[in-house]
Amino acid sequence: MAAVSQGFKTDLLGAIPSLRAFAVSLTQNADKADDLVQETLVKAWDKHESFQPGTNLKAWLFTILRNEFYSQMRKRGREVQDSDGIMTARLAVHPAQHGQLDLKDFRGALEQLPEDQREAIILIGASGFSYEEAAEICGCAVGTIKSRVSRARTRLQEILKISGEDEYGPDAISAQVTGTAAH
Amino acid sequence: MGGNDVSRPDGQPDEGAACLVLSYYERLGCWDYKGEMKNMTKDILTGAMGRRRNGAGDPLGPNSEIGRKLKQYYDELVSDDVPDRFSQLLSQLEKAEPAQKKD
Repeated sequence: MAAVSQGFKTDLLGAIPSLRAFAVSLTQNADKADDLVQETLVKAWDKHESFQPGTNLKAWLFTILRNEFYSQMRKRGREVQDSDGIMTARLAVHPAQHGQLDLKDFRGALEQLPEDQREAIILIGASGFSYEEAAEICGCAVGTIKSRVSRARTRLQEILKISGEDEYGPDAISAQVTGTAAH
Repeated sequence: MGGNDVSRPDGQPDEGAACLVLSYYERLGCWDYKGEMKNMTKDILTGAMGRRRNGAGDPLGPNSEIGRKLKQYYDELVSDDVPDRFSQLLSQLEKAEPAQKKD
């Protein structure tokens, strides 16, 4: 087994904040998230030889973390898809005024998304991955990621009662605010 | 491309700069109710970003409330202090390595 280089260790350390953010997004629980990050680091260390230097380390680590998350869920026998229903009714969100949406409400809404949609919208909208990279991380087709992101976005808009913002480009927003669309 | 276009020296639209200008304008609350010119600037900026992303405008970009909240949510998590247990873990793994090599 080849020694792990100092650079690899430094890169792992540097990736921890992103890994934790992704782990919290997946688990919705800070303690579980940190355990997941720990598992990920150990796995990454063990199989460091399978990482190709020069490729995207963050994407590689996110893939490991995600696989670990789903394999733990399967072991616990938990149903992965938690789609519509149960959670939805629990949270009453006040209609958001445009631009006044509270972060707490947003967090609650995000929690209500099924895992596959939540991870897709996080990878694309927050972690800065391309659709191609996200597809690789999730082991699915680019089109699947696109439709998950789109469904997640629609669902969040419904929960937060944001009416179809920028659905029709920038003009729709100005029209909405000036009220020209209503007349 | 007009004088309002946001471009890098090599002539390519600068998405980063466009985002900055967009969010600045939105904070000011300018173009929601001001005249044509602001909307034109916004169109040009959005267009510059859209072209960088192969055509279609970015549904999670700075124009989108969902997109902005998503980034705010995530950035807050990323900026959270990292507990010591992780650097300790990596040091332990590092120490354990020579033993593994003997096997």
